[in-house]
Amino acid sequence: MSFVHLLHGFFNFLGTTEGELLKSAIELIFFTIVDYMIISEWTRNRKKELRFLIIAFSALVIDKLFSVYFLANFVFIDSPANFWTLSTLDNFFEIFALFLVGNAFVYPVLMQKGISGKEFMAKRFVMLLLTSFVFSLVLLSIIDLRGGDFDDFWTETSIYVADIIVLMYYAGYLVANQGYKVKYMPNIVAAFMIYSVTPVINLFNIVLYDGTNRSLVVAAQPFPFISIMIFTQVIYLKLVDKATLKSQLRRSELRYAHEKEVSKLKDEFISTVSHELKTPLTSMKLYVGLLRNGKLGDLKEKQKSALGVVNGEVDRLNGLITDLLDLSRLESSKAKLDLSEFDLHDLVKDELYINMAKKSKIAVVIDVPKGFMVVADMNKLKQVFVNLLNNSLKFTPEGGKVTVSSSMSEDSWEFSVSDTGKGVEKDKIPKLFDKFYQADDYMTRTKGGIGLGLAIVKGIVELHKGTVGIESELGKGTKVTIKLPKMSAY
Amino acid sequence: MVKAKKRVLIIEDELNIANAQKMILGDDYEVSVANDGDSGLDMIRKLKPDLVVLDLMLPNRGGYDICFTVRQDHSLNNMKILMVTALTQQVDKNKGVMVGTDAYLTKPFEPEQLLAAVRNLLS
Repeated sequence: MSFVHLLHGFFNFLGTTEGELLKSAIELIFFTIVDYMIISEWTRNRKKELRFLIIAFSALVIDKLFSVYFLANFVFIDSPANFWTLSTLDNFFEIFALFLVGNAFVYPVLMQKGISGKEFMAKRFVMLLLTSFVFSLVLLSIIDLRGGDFDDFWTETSIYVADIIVLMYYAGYLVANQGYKVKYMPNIVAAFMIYSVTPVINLFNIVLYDGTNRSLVVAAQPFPFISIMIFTQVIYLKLVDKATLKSQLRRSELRYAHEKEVSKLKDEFISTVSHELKTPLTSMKLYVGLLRNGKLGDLKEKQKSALGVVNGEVDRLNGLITDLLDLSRLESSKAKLDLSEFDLHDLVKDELYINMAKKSKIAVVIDVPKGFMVVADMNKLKQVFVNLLNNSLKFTPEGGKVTVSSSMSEDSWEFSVSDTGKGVEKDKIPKLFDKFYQADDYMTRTKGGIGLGLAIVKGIVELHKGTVGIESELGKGTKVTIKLPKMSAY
Repeated sequence: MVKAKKRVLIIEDELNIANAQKMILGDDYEVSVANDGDSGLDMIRKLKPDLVVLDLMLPNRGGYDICFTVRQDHSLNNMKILMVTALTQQVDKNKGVMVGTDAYLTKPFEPEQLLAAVRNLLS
């Protein structure tokens, strides 16, 4: 006997009442497993979609339990007299279960459309019932015309018609709403279509052959299995999907909490260090001040000038600490901009900076027109400007010139500080932004500073989503240009 | 008749700084000192000073908290508050303004700066 014969024999067997029992038992096992999977997911995650699926698959389980019960009774004990009534009830129950399954699978679409699930179900139920009724009448009249007996076929015909219409309607609904996101939509549609092949073949058998064609009975057998497999697969994928999504979410939550903790520690560290370092400096400065202005007794000129040196060094130390803290604040995730609109001219014309220049006998030309309105974090931009001016003044010899200029374009604005200083070698330019980098060798350095100025400038400019450019020629001078996008203050 | 000196309360946990501030202001004002937040608030209520020099990072009760509490108390309506802190950020200053400080001095500062700020507020 060939494999085909075996297969044919098997499907032939499935077409008998004993086969029906086996089929129902297998279906019962599958549906129970699926239902169990959904329910156990539901206990962890009470989503409405899952509730619909539970109702639908529970209905299928009850339906199959019912068929197994009465088929087993029929096969093993005795043919009950009311077999026909039970089988009809079973079939109607299956249609109702399929109707619930259909609703459960289109639920994601309903949710995205904002339609109430119950309302939708009530309306479709009436509509599908009426449609099935009309179609059954049409088919029954065909049977009648052919000379078949109306009484023998009306139940089976209407059951198969209702099966097909319910399945096709929900498959069609999913296809018609392709724009909405439904996971595994093609699989679900395929499962519905394949499930409906069996009633179609059965209907053909009834309408054309009064249900007597054995080949059609055999041909109808495998399709429900295939579609049940697909349903199981879809449910499995859906649940596994959710589980992986959930574990991913949990992982990223943990990571986020950790990052938040680190950034909080860093912020705490910054304010603690700020407090701890500045407190002794404050003490030193106050007592040096008290000594210098004679509050603690008269001092000789030499002693006063020595205290002046101490005071200057305290200021320098304070400047360095401020720079370090500013930089580490810029690097922390909490660095924020406090945007406002202001006149750049006023910012660079501030007396303090002019005095800085006067002290070092360098001409400062300010070429920023009055009313050069920009939106930026004013305090941070002041810091940028002070740092750039400081650098230029530091590396420009007496009698040199420092120029501050600005320009505006459609979506950005620039300002630059250029000097006639000693310049920087080309290959050292990119390194200038590194923390603690100094173009001079440590041993040959003639100027102070620890090399944080440009790193701070870069940090601030990048926080504004802008860029810093440096052009320099040895012996001729350096030009640093800051380019910032135009922003809205609100 | 000599006009009574105005009263200044210094709330500062660092004794060295508190003493220096007392020396700076002692010639012109009647100065008291508190070394932590709670006793600072007690002394504010007891003494009702004309001005408080208020450090922000204090044991058991922060400067912002003290400032905010004082501003809720109508019996302390005329009291001036000068915040003194090592925090340099604009947001910290904004916070100070929000809880109702009259002025803000950043550490470290010169003795003259403190004197000028106090004079300015009490003139």
